[in-house]
Formats: sequence, structure tokens, C-alpha cells
Amino acid sequence: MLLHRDRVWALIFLALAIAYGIEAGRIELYFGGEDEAFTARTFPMALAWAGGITAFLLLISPVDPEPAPSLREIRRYDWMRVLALLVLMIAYGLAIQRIGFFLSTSLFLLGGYAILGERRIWMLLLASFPVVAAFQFLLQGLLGVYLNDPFLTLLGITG
Amino acid sequence: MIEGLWIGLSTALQPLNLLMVVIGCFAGTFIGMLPGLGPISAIALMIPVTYGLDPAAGLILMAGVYYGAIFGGSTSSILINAPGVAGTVATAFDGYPMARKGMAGKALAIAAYASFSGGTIAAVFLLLAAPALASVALSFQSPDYFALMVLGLTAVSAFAGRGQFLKALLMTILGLMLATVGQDVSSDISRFTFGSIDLLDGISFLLLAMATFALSEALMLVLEREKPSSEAEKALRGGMGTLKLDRREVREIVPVIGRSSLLGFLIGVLPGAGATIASFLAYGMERHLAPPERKEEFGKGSLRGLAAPETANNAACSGSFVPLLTLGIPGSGTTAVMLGALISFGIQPGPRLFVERPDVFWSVILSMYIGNIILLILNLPLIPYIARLLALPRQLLIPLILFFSLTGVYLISFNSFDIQLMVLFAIVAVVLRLAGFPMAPMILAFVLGRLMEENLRRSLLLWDGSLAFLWERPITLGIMIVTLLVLLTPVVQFVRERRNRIVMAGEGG
Repeated sequence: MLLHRDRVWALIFLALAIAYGIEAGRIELYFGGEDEAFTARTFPMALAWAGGITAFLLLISPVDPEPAPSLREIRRYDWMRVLALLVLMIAYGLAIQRIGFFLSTSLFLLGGYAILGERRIWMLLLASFPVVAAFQFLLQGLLGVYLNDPFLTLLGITG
Repeated sequence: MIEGLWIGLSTALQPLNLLMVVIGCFAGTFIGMLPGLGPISAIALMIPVTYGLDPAAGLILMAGVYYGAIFGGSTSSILINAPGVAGTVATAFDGYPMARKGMAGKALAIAAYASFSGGTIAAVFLLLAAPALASVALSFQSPDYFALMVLGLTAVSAFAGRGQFLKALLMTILGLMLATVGQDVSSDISRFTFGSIDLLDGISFLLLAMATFALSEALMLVLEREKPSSEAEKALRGGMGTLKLDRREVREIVPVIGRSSLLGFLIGVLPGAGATIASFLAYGMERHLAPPERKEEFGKGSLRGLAAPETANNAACSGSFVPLLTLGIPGSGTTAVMLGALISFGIQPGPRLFVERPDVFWSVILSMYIGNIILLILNLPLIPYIARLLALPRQLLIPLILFFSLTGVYLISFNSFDIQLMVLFAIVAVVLRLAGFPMAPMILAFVLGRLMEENLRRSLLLWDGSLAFLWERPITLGIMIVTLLVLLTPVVQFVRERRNRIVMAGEGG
């Protein structure tokens, strides 16, 4: 018989509380610190116990037979698009300092629109590069926020 | 008090601050209108903007966004039956049927008048209650604060919803655990950093709020394949009808507004209760009080059924500022985000705020009046136009939300590690949301985590490592008794439901 979803989550939280508790026990203290009334370990240890007990209570408590959303509904969700957006966000995080704010953000927006189904080329271009250019002008030109941008420096637009 | 009011008034009426209220109301209305995006996301998206402002202006902007988001949520509830926030779910019960009868304009007008009245009446209560509570709170010590925070976090979990108590409690503990990442404030010892320099300063609250609300809510919209734009187009094509109310209608909703304002404010003051519970309770109360012929109208387009939750949710918003401003303890996820922003401004809300920063304290309260007036005189006539923004294609809107969330965090730290961490938190948040774990208790606990640890440390040091501080001071003992009662509420509810089920099964068999 399959384990109920809430019970699986209770087990996950129980494991998390145990791992957190073990890690809390490993927090290094200053020499003689163990004898103090309150150390850097006290609060985390209390949380580990509280988390473990609550997770255990969830594990043994009666569960809702049909939790919402149901597994069938979850399977019907648009996972591919969300996955593509997550990959795009990670790539954006990796690119922003390497190729600069302007190009990476414009490509991020363009990619996001395309993933979500925008196919009009003029719209893809109009809603990405000019939007980021205006945003960057607002930040750098008006608010004086410095943005390191190797791409714009290469083009000779920023110094 | 008069002097403080004067300082607050002169601060709130400064042109920049007035502009902030206007911008806040508009931005909040727009974001709150988008189904799935609530006031927490709206405020989180505004925080990067507030870093360039002085604390009073920043808080005024956020208060405007809060009100705007609630109003925006009502708009999408009425027009497309898709509440942007939980606090406006009850609005859709009668607001949407009214819109379907071609009375969208009237429903929006009632929502606006009710919100305005609820917000304004509650702001008067706040004006009277906040200074009084702040002066009482001046005598509070670390054990009392610790107990209050325990009460706040327990209450948020207890009021999370039927069968949600343990899940909300687990999210609260998770939020507290996340708050312990980084260097310990008192000893500088690093904890849970796993050797990463990027985690030494701890997890930024803005990062966590953006990832678990704005990012994950936008991803949920993609997951659920929701298309608010097509629904909005249909609603707008149908026309709005008149925005005017006749005398009979006004006479019908005035007493409802009075009762719901008081109820909403009182519920809002309670830690953890907030706008959602207030709106449902007000709806239930009005249905109960209505004469039999009016009772039948509930759920089919009743004016009372629309005015009650709208008044109560706005009054509760004002009420939730009482514990934030006077005790420094937020009563809801939204005010927790505001507390996080205030702390990053270097301001510690609490009873001293009333004495030390009267400009911040009073200008926030007064800007609530101004915000309500702006929502009424500017937003209401502009609603048909603002609602058109709902018709913006989803494929353009969602990447823009993701962009503002990611860059909002990146532009503060200029550390690309933060973007990766946000993505990780957003994934976890989406999975937890699907499993029915609420996010608000987590963010509230995260914001309170360090304060709670600090107050526990002081209490334990003062009481020589003994937990006796929990019962030796009468105030602390009183708060702990209330906490125990709150903890028992879901248990009693569970036992009662189980007994009813057994009785029903017995009768059926």
C-alpha cells in the first residue's frame, strides 16, 4: 500500500529535524562555552527537538483521504514549462556577471516569453531589449546604481 | 500625542511621501489584481525600491502597496472570480454573482466604499490603541517578548485552517531553522554555513520572501495553466455598469460597515488571525444577522455579503499594524515582510518606536488614511482602465514578474549566488505549496527567528539557565497561558469533529 502524501512529508521533516539536530550538535563553541547557560547550540537544538516532535505528530495523526490538489491534478500540471523556466533562471544567474546585466537580462526575458508561448518576433524583441535598456538607464543614469557590464563596455556604451 | 500626530502629519504630507502613497496604491492594486499574487509578493517586489528611500517614505510606500493589493485582490475576485489574495475569497461569494448580473461597476464601488470605510474606521482605532499599547509595552522585558513571539507563531499555525495546524507548525519551525543559518549574533560563531562564505551573513529575508512568494506564485501560475487574461477580457467586454449607489443601497450597507470594521480591527490585532479570518467571520456574522428574506440573497449577489468581508479585511489590515508598531511583533506574513524591511532600515519596531521615531510611527498611521482616500478617489474611477492590465498576455507578464523578483534581490547584493539560492527556495516552495504547506508562517518565523533567539538568550542568562522565566513574571505567565489555550484550539476542534463524525456514523448505521 502506498504511503499517504502527508505521511511522506512527515518523514521528510523528521529526517530534516534529525539532520539539523546532528549539525547543531557539531556547532563549534569557544573553549569552556559548553558550561554557559546559553550557547550558539541552544536555540538550534531546541528547534531540532520541536521539529522532530511536530513531524512525529503529523506522522501519527489522521490524514485527509483526498488532499487537494490530487496526484492526478498534479500530473496534469505544466511541468515542462516550469522546468524550462527554472533552467533559464539558473542560466541567468550564471551569466549575469560574465556577460553583464544588459545582455543576460534581455536574453532571460526573451527566453521567458518564448517558453511561455510568445511567437511574434517583433514582440519578443520589443519586450526584452528596450525594456532592459530603459530599466538599466533608470538604474545607472538616474539612480546612480553601478552595474558592471562587459558587453556594453565592449560596445563602448558604458565606461 | 498631539505633537506626534503633528510630526506624522507633516511627514505624511511631504510631496515625496504623498507620491509614495499614490505609487504604492497603484502598484499594489495592479499586483494584487493578478490572480495568485498576494500582498506579500506585492510588498516584497517593492522592497528593493524602498532601500533608496528614508524609512518613513519606505514604510508609507509599503503600507500603500498593502492596501492597494487588498483592493486589487477584490477587483479580480469580483471581475473574474479569481481572488488574488486569501483575504478577498469571501468577496467573490457575492461580488462575482453581481458582476455576472451586469453590476460589476456597482460591486466594485461597494468594495471601494467598504474598504475605505473599514480602513478609515480601523485607522482611528489604531490611532487610539497603538499609543496606549505602546506605553504598556514599555514595561515589557525579554521573557515577555519571547513569550509574545511564541504566542504569535503558535497563533499563526493554529489559525492556518482546518487540518493545517501541524503543517503550519512545521513551516514555522522551518522558518526558525532558516533564521539560524549564518553567524550567531552574540558569539559570531558560524552555524549551518557548510563552509560557504555566501551564507556567513545568513539568508537575506528579501531573498526568502521573493523566492517563496513572488517567484513561487508566478511559477504556480505557469504550473496550473491559469489564463487570467482571457477571463479578464471577457469580463471587461461585458461592461462595468454604473458605479453609483442609490439611497436604499447605502442605507443597507452602512450598519454592515460599522459592525464589520470593529470585528475586522479586533481580529487583525490578534496575532496570526488577519484579513482572511476577519473577512470570513464578518461574512458569517452578517449572514446570521440578516432578515430571512435577505439571507437568501447571500451567495447570489447580496450587497451585505459583499460589504462585510471587504470592510473587515481592510480593517484587519490596519489592526495588524498594532502589534507590529507597538510590540515589534508582526501578526501576519505581510506585516512580517514589513518588519524585515524595517529592520534592514536599521529601525527596530516596538514600544520605543513611538518615542524614538515618532515621524515613522505617526506618518505610517496617517498615511493609511491618505492611502484609503487615494484608493477611493483615484483608483475607483480608474478601475476599468487598471483592470485592462489584467488582459496583458500571461506570456509577457510572468517573465516580467520573474525578472523583477530576481533583479530585485541581485541589485542589493550583486552576488549571483543569491539568484541560484532563490531558484532553489522557489522550487522547494512550489513543492511544499502543492503538498498543502502554508508559506506565511515560515516567513513570519524567519523574520522573528533572530529576535526570538536573542530574547531567549537574555532571559536564560538573567534566570541562570532556568526556564522559570516563563512563569515567574505575571505578564509572561499570562501570555504563556494564552499560548497554551491557542495550542489547544485545534486539538479541541479535532476532538469535536471526530465525536460528531462518530455520532453521525452511529445515526447512519
